[in-house]
Amino acid sequence: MPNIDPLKNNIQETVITNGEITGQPTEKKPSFWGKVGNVFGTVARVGVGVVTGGGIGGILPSLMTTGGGYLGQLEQLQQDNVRSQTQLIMFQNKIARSGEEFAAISNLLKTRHDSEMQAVNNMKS
Amino acid sequence: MNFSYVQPSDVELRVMLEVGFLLRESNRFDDAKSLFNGVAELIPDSDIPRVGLGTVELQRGNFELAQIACEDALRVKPNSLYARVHRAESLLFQKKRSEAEVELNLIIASDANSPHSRTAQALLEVAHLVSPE
Repeated sequence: MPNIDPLKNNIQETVITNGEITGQPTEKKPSFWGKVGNVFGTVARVGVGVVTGGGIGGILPSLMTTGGGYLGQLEQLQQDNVRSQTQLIMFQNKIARSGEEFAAISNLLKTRHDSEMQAVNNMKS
Repeated sequence: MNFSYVQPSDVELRVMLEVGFLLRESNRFDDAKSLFNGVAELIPDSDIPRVGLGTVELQRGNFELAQIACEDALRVKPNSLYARVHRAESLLFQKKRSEAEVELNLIIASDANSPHSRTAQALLEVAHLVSPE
């Protein structure tokens, strides 16, 4: 049986029994430090591109070839961020409106009660 | 029936009216109506039990009946701000917002410090929720 770590959700190691491979290694998701390494790798490649390819002309091909995915991811993240911010503002507005409505209705109920009590207390038969 | 031999004191009448309001708030509308009808027989010149009947109808969602009850109270006491404010409320719930707003503003103008005027002001503040344009 492959040894599966539920937290990482992939096969930790391949077990070989009687010459047979019983667990097939799956593609591991990059860990946080792996991602950091990728980013540094991209930066290094861009730096090399600048040095060897000559200035900006070297950066663009580097980003297109090695970091293009990151630009796309960055753009996607920015879009997600804008969408989240918009949703947050909408929720905040909705909550503020609900609060105002609650306060107005609460005030109406209180004034109605005061009005009734005043009418009753001033009553003369 | 003739109830003239029954002479409740003011305190007893107040207790009866407050019980009527409590019954209304407890959603015991029929009991509240019976009580307000009884009190209206005991004090035929008072607007309060008639408006009380109107508020029971308001709470039941019978806004036209509420308006009729408040107009009945206004026949007994034409200058009753209490009856006018609940009549305006019944108009508001019947989606006659502009008519209700005119009446509510008149109530506020007549005596801004009255508790009925404060109710009128509170109704104006929720008018857009009750009767959106």
